[in-house]
Amino acid sequence: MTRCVVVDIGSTWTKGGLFEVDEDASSEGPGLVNLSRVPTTLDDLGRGFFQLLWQLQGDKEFEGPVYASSSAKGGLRVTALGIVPDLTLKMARQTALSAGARITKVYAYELTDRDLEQIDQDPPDILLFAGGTDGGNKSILEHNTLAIKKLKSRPNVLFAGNRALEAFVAFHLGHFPLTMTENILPELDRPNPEPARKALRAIFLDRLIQGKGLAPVQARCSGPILPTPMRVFDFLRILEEQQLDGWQHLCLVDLGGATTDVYSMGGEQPSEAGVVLSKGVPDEHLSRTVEGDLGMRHSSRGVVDSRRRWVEERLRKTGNNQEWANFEEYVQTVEVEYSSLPNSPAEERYEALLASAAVTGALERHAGRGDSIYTPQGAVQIQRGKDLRPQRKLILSGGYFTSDRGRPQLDLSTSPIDDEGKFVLLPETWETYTDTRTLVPLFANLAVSFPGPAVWGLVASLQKEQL
Amino acid sequence: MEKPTIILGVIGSDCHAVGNRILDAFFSAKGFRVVNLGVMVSQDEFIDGALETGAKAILVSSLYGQGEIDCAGFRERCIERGLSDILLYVGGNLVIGKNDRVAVEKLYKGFGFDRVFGPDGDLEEAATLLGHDLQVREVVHS
Repeated sequence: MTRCVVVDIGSTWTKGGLFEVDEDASSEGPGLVNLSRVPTTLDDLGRGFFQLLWQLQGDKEFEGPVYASSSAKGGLRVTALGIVPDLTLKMARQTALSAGARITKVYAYELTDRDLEQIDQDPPDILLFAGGTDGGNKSILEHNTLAIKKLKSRPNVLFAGNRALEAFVAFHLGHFPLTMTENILPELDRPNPEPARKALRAIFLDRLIQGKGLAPVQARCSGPILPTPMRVFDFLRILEEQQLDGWQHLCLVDLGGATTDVYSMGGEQPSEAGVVLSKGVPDEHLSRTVEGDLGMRHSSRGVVDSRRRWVEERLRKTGNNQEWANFEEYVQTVEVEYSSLPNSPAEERYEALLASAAVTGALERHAGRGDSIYTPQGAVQIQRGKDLRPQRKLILSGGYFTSDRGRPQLDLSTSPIDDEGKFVLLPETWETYTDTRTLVPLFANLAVSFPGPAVWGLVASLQKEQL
Repeated sequence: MEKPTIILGVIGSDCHAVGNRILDAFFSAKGFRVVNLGVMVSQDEFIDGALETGAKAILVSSLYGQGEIDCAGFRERCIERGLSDILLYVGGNLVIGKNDRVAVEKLYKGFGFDRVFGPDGDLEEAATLLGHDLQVREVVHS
């Protein structure tokens, strides 16, 4: 038996769990001895962290192994550059998201002086500089290298573009903290995200942890501290490797106050015979998207803006014409009062509607689209993005789903057809599980040393919902 | 010398794949670096491919008789997207019914194609012309 502590440092709460793991038991979850949280101490992340170590043990500070991840202080902020939006820029975006990044901005083609000003106003942690296949486009990359050279800020630059430009980039950007890695798209149909992903991780560990005030936490931890979404991404890979029956294909939605993250496993190939995949960069087997305008608090306004029709359709069923105005008023309140909770049955209903609209909206954006093209040889079905129809299993995580808030009244029905008349490749119904104690990030950290128990623990802790 | 990169593909909703594979094998053997986008390629996908790979020429095939609809405005689109100087070749069954080669050539040159090949076009000749045209561009640019 080993006792260890896992900690997830979020922007509001620093949460931790004390687990007891039996390394010999192959198909058993860990024992959860204690679960606790403290408000994140943004001025000194270590203070809250060490207080939590004390709180978890009860009488003294915990002394065994500790694993941690962090999304405090903006997480890992990346700005991505590419050439064509559907090719290298899409690839740069996918790579950064799979590394757990929060994408601040993306730029295609040549950078302009205005773009540079924008970057200087809000410099990212890392500038992911991609573009061109190996031996491919040089002129746009040369232009962008000389543009970056003029930046007043000094973000870390990770070059992951056309290999032929390496010397040029190294010569001109030597005054930046610069890292070179393999091209993320060496050939048009051969994505290569892994080296850049590793480099993003290494830059976070070597150069960013200090600045984010995580050095004392890192000194106490038994493994590297990673951005929380990267750890969750790795955890889903581990979950798949463990080959648990029925858990190989799934979607995970993390509904937060400011963003809604969607992770999906599989669906990159058509699920039916005769369907053609559209051109462009293939989607990755495991992928993550982040919706910065869908959330329960800071971004609740975005739900009103982009999900209005969906919400109105649900409200109409109540027969009360005032419902939309009331819902909007509720959203306006919680957008400013982050910590407010619903305190009437009507507000409970609006809260549920807000959560449902954000989750379904994020899923609809994450999923691919199906389309028919008529040719002289008959109709051809085209798939763009991921076909998640066979996925069915949906894990919902985030504050709204915690059990002390009562059972969620969710409506996860999505539109079968989008605004452009294309089929949305999502299942009609989900087999839904909720993470009632927000354990996903904790198990993700536990998986660093105890992959098997972490996966079993997660599956056992999820609550199946009857919606 | 570096191998010149060329983009290959069958345009529009056309899914004739056999000729496309033959062209791929042939031009590769002739010393070109072939980036083959396969069948059902849109104008923008040809241009995207050329932008990322730094290709010097785009070779468009059309076998199903609707090439006229698919190829209209190709050069304009290239200019708009920063590839004004790229070589554009087109070949295949470019029209249905009309057999006047001169008229067909005129039509496609109007779309901005530099060379137009009919169904009986000779591959050896095309490769020679391509090598020559690429050299001329090189000289003009240096």
